[in-house]
Amino acid sequence: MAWEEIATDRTGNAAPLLDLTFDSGTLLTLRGEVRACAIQSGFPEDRAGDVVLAIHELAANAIVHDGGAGRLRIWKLTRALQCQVDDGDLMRSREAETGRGGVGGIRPSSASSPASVNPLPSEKGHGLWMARQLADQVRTLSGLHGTSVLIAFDLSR
Amino acid sequence: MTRVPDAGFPVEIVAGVPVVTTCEEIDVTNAARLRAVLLEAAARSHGTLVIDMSRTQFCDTSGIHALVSAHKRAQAEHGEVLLVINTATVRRIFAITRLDQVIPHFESLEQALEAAW
Repeated sequence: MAWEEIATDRTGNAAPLLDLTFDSGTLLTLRGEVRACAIQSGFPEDRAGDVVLAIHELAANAIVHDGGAGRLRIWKLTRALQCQVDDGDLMRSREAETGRGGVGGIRPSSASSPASVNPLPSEKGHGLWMARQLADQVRTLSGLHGTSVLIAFDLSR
Repeated sequence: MTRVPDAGFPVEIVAGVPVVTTCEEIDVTNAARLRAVLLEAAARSHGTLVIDMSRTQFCDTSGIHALVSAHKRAQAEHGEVLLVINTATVRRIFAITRLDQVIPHFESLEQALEAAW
């Protein structure tokens, strides 16, 4: 399925199934929410596990390499589950632009310090690599203000 | 705050072999701690080490890195790492990263301990 179709589909049905901000202290909760979302959308256990793993890896990337926090949104479209992970830099620049804080859901806990995550010297590319193995489509959007990764899982499989 | 529960990574000597038991969730919040425990256990036992992941429901690539570090350390000491894996999610990430072709793995602790001899 082309991304153009997904984009059009999304504008017609824009409300996300899930919209939350995350940091190292809320990764476990994020996984639980994503799994529930995937099961609710009709994925069997093993495919739901793939959705959780792929999104977790992107979220962990955002935490370890791009600002300590991020935002996840999941949309259920006609033929795919589409997920977008925005990194912390992107989140902060948008907040600065709009003057608003984070959206509903879990707020990044300012109490969790960078030291609470002890990242291995793993390469930034590994998370994206894992997403590419698991998802049906992957796209990254990098701009001056940060990075978004979009991945889609076909519902028909 | 819902952190990954800090059950730690207990190490027990069973039939002369160190067995490290991993907790339910392994990710970036505890993978470095796991790596430290594994490297220390491998150093003490001259390389051979069993890692019991039968309780682990989730493991990400940072967990995989920790296991690879232990594997390399064990090899350097002319020993080996033996894994116990019996959950679908852990099997899945092992298959994708091909770690299942690199590190010996077993369905039960008993089988892994037998192989350690």
